[in-house]
Amino acid sequence: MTTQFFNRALIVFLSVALSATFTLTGCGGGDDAGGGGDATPTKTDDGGSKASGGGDRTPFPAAKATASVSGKVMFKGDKPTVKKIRIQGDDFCMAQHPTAPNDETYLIGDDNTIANVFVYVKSGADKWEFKVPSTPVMLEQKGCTYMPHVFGIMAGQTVTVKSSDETKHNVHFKGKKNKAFNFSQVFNQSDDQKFSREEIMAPVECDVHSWMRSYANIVYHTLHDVTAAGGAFELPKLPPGDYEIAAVHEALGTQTQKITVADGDSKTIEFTFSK
Amino acid sequence: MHCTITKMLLGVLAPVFLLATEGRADGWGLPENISTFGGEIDHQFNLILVITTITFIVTMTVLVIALIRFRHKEGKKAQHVHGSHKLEIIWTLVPAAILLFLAFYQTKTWALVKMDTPDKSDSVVIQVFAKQFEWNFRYAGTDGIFDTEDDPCTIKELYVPVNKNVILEIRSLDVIHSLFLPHLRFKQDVIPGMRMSAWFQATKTTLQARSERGDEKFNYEIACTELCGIEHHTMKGTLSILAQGEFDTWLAKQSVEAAQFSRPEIWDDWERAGGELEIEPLEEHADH
Repeated sequence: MTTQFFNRALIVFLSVALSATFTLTGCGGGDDAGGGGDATPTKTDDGGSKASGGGDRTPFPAAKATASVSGKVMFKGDKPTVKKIRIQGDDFCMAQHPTAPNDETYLIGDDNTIANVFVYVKSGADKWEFKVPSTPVMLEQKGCTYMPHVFGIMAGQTVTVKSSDETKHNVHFKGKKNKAFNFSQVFNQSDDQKFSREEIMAPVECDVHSWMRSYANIVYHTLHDVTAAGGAFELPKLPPGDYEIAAVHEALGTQTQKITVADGDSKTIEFTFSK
Repeated sequence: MHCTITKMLLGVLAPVFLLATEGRADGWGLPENISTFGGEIDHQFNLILVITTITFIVTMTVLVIALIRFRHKEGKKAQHVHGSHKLEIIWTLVPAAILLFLAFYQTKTWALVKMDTPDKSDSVVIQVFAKQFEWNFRYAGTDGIFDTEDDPCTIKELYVPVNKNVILEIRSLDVIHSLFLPHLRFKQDVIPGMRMSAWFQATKTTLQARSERGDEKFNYEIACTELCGIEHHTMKGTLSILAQGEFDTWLAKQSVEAAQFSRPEIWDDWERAGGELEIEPLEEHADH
């Protein structure tokens, strides 16, 4: 009885308040778009000059880049247990995964090859200025997962972040050397971003779905690759010279190897990680 | 002109809509109370509502009478009044007396909700970790110890037993959040760097509520009531109140499965979040 009385009292109060609000307010000046609701995120600086390092660098001698380094990334020892990810709190995401998906941290094949390892020229290419690729790197949110899980990109190159999910995502770059970005995306929305400084395994996360994570690897050149299933990588266009090649895994750490290549060389190296 | 007519129509239609929806399950007042101390909270709420409603009606009535009685009349000069000490004393002392009364009157309720915290040994303890923009929950598992392999972790889904004290240990990873369980009359701000603790006891299961409401999809709501960022509105979840036996079964099953799942990384920061937060410095030359 008491509850009914208060419900009715509240309804009468709300009715009067709403009537007054709607009736007494004017048209509000018209242009709603001017309210600062622009969802376009702040873009980073182009970073082109920073990307190429400045100083006394010379253009990358593409015509002389006839050598290549390829190889595999392997795992030695007892393989870590592959755990599952608990998808919760979002009906759309849960519907995309009737069974819990595997955690992508350790993608180790039956032949002990490791996927999602970023391999790049760590030193030896510093003297060259590279042209920033015009093709953007795609980072897609699909099935409430980031695809790819690990990607390489040149500083100054565009990364296009797209959502193919009919739910809301929040793209949050949590690197420490580059300018952070943090914006929401709805279905079919895409936004371009750029990085300006070298940074390895910098996380990109969704603040709404904490299991979603990708790793950006930003370098000053185009001499990089990410291993797929099978653990293979290839750095196909290297001019003759001495290089330090690094392989980086999100949980297993970094390994490096020094290598010298001559004109037309096709050298093979192997990285072996253990836990 | 067209816009004004639209606004006027809305002004008329909005109350009609409100009245038409009066039949919703919880009405337009507070949602159904299902906690042991909820009746006390509602009593305080209703008392304050009565006082403020009477005050509102009296002041509005005086205002309208004054508007009509002292409206412009030809040939009548306005009377200039420079205040009344008597009136000012009255309208200062009366609200002060009301506030003082409320302050003393609610002490029993405050003590019940905030001070008479139940004993942990006779309660279900759940850790709640807030972050932009998720509620993370962790249970001790069947071993009864936190931070072990069998701890079930859930996101935006809170499971509790009915008729049993539940103690929530609450922390925030980043900004101020506020955990709100409206049907339980439970609301607790979550301050970064502070260890918050609060409790409740639910009196009705989700299944009972669904049956009574004739709504098989009904769920008790979890919300964040502190604007915590751009996705604040997504920080909601569901509270499932289970019969004790169902809860025990659920916890046992989740404890067995817990080892198969990656523990959300947020729990690595649980201890740190309960103390002095250290902001990790950005590296030199960062473009921030």
